[in-house]
Amino acid sequence: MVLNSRNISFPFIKKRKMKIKLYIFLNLIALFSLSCDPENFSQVVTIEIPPHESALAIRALFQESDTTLELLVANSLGILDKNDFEIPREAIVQLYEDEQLLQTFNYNPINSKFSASINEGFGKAGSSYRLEVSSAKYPSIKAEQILPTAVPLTSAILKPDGTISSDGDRVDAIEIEFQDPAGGENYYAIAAFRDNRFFDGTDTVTYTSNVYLDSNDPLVSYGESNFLIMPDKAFNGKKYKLLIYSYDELDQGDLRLHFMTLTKDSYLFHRSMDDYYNAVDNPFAEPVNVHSNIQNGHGIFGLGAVFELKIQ
Amino acid sequence: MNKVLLTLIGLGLFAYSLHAQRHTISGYILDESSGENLLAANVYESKSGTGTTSNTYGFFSLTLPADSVELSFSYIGYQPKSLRFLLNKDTSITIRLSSSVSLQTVEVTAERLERIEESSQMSRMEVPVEQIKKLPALLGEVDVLKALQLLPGVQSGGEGQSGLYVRGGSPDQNLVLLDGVPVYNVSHLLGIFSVFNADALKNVTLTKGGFPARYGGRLSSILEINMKEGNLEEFHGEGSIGLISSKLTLEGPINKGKTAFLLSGRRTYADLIFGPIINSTEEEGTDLGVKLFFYDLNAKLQHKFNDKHRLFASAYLGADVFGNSYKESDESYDTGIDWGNLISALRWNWQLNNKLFANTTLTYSRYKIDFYIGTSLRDETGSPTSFDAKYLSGIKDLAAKVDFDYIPNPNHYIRFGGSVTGHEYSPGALAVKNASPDFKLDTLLGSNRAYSTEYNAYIEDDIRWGALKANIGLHASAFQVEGKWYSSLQPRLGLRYLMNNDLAIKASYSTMWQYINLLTSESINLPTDLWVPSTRRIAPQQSWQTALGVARTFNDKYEISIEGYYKEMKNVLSYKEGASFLFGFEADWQDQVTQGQGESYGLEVFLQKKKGKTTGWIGYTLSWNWRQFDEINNGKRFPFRYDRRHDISVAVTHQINDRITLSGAWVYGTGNAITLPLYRYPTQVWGNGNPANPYFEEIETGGEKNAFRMTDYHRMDLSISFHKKKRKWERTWVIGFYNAYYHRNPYYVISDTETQYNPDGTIKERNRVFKEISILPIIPSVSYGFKF
Repeated sequence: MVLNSRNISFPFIKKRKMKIKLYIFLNLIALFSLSCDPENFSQVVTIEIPPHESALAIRALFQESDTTLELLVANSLGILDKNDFEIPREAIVQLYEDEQLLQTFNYNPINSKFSASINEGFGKAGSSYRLEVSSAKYPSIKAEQILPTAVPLTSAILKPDGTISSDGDRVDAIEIEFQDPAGGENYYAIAAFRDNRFFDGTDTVTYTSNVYLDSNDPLVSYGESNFLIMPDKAFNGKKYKLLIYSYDELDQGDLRLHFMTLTKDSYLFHRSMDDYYNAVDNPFAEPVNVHSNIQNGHGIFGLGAVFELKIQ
Repeated sequence: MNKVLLTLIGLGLFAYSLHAQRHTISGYILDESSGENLLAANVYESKSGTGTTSNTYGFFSLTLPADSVELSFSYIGYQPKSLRFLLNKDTSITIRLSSSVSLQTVEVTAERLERIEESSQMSRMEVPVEQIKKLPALLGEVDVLKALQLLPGVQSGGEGQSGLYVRGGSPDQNLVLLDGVPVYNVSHLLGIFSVFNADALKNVTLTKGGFPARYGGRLSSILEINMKEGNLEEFHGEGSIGLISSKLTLEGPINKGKTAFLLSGRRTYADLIFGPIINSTEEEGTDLGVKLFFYDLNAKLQHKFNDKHRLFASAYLGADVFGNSYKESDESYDTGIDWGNLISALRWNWQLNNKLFANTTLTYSRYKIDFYIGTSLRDETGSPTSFDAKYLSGIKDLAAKVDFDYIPNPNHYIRFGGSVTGHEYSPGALAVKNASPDFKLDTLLGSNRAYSTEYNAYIEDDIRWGALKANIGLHASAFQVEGKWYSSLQPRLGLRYLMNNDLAIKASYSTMWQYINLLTSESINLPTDLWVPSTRRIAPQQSWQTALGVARTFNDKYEISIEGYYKEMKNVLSYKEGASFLFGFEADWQDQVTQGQGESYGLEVFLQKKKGKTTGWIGYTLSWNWRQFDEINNGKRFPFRYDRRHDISVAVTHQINDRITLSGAWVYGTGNAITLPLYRYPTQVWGNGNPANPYFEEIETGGEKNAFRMTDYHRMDLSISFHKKKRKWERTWVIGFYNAYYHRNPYYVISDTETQYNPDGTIKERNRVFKEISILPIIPSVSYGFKF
């Protein structure tokens, strides 16, 4: 509907010229309102994309002392390929420790991952690990890592209502301190877990849940799996004190803090994944290439050494 | 007989000696009503066919043979003036020109303005501020930088952005000077508006190439913006009220004819509107605060001691302020981000004699950004605790410079001078304070402040040899940082050959060095962008550029210029792939960047109509723009994001009558270069107990840098002004609309899944597609302006 001087009257505006100007502007406002429909802000376009040759893609992030190692093995697809990813269940997945075969992984259809058990717990600090995956349909891939030595925490103090979050809420905090080894580059991750128990009428059931952590410290960024991550560039070789907090009540139940020393590839993967998710649909962001260290394929093989502390 | 012969010989010698004597006419060309200097006003002597132009401060000097002279003084938008007299001694005069009744109907008849073909300077464009004010504007906010984006060779960044990309360069390669002082951040609201309030400005000049020797320090352009000086004769004011901001400018004499002031301010008022709404939601006992505005303040003072000495003081202060706060009894929370510029200049004009003019300037420029968060509360024991973190980043300059204009005769205009600038850089420092009964922290992280000193000297001569005019110069610079010295000699050459009265061929060559750099995303300029110096590891950027063109005037109304250019850039900076440097202290910035090469070339066509009821221009640019970095795109050359093959802009203003003016602008550009993912793979899988159909989380990646193009960009803006002159004041209503025919111009591209459904609601087909997202629809605006 177009507003005009016949169907709208403005008795309080007497001058005809002023009315004309008002009509023009009201029509423009109407047009502006119509153009603000969200559907009007996007359109499908045709862009020629070169064909993509599928390769294996894995996600293998192992931590010291894990008794079960799991990894995802799948394939890559062209960006406009509407097929679903597939998991090559017949793939041969092997982990070598210092050039000796440590484990062969088996496919687990329950969680769609390849897994292996290590009763004594995975990992020796300083050892080199090589992961190889081969499949009849795709070129073989491999990647190598050296497990770092875990850097211990020198103190960890629980402070109920000890800080204010970035949203302005009073929250529980943990203050940790550690000594960064001098020389070299070190990368850290922090995670927390709570061991819970409940009685289901018959037995006592225990389960572990992740505790969401955050920090106002600007050196800290976010990794996957609720990790907080940070490099040591700002405090190389020095003691560092860090305050982390959670919206959960940290003084409830049995809390375990994992202070991890990551390989560089592992840190870069976590950091680039965070950048990637921040850049998705963000027109202000540079395109982000997620860090990958897989030869002939895609994905990540990364390791982390763990120092665990129980908080009481 | 011998006596007659001797007498005749004596008279002849006397007449010859008169003719051989030369005298200098010098003085100032001013606006009659305001007393403001008119820069680049034309002075022409018709008998000898020689002339000159006034400098930035209105000073001119013309040395002629002793004889009767016919001088004409002219300036666009002003009534010309003629003067006839016998030149038998050095003469000092002040010429006051009256402005024409309306700018659009300039009817300069007999006299010659300096035409495009007469100047040896090429690649230089001046857009009158009054013309800028008449162009359609986004949300009704007149914007100097957006007007410059309508010129050939100048591109905008993304939709609605005010950054300038000049002949393939990036925004940090533009030297933006406000009254001769560098401005380091030229944007408000993340680039949507510029910091320049057009009501406070006198003139805007952009030089894209053929840089005279007096300029240095940036590779791609020099943008000179001069503030008005204040009306020496009468008190005046103007202002406007718009949809998002209002402004007011006042100027007038403090001591008539000797001392004058200018004050101009602009402020947005979103917080004044939304603040009360937010406060109305407060719970009892709490206090909510919101800050959401930007402002600009311009001030200038001039004092004329006498005809030979004049002093100017000018200042600009502007900022963007965003933040929110919360307070309840003993608890408080306050966070926000502010950024802005403070610049000031103290300038002394001294006319040493009728051929030599000196300008000495002291300048200060500061840009800073503050991000802060502060909390205070009482812990469970009732003891006060507080946490404050403040991030600071910025750059400061303190400079002194002296410039001389020496005009020995009409065939030479010599400029020389020098400057020294002290730079202080703060590329990110974080101050953290934490106070509680059992823990105290007061630390400063990343305070890697840096200092450098920059020295410049130059000499140039504008030489005329008949139809050939040349500007030959040399710019020398040196830069000292971290104990390391960089130095350069930069030759400059501009040539013009006048084929006939209306047609000239021009050529230029210039080399430029740039010692300070801006770390910024290619996508958008953010206030967190960092100015950093060249260092031992990061070499200065360098360029050389050459251009060739023709220029012609038709019927005294139309000007056309066609220019081809080629530019090479060395040591240009970019973030490495995957690097980010938001806060500047978690790592050395030098580890996050890499240096490479740039190459750009193209052709610019510019047709302008300057007189009559309809004025405006058409600009067309055909260009290529490349970058190459060893650490990006596997070292392969790639198109710069703003490599725009074709760029067309049309700007028209039509004066229907004294009271109604229509104006419009239409722009077209080839789509921006973008990086698109080529493949995807899963990074996580969830079995969900359904092994046949697990759920994958995936990422998209691959793709060469900037290997694809968005669809072409085009947009039309229109506005209509209703002007009325009252007895003692005048008012103007401006109604406009941005993107008048609502073309959905792409801002970025995403990949998405489109689902088609069967009539029964089941899924028929899923396809993966690319979608372009646009952000600005048709936007109407209205503003009310007044002048007295």
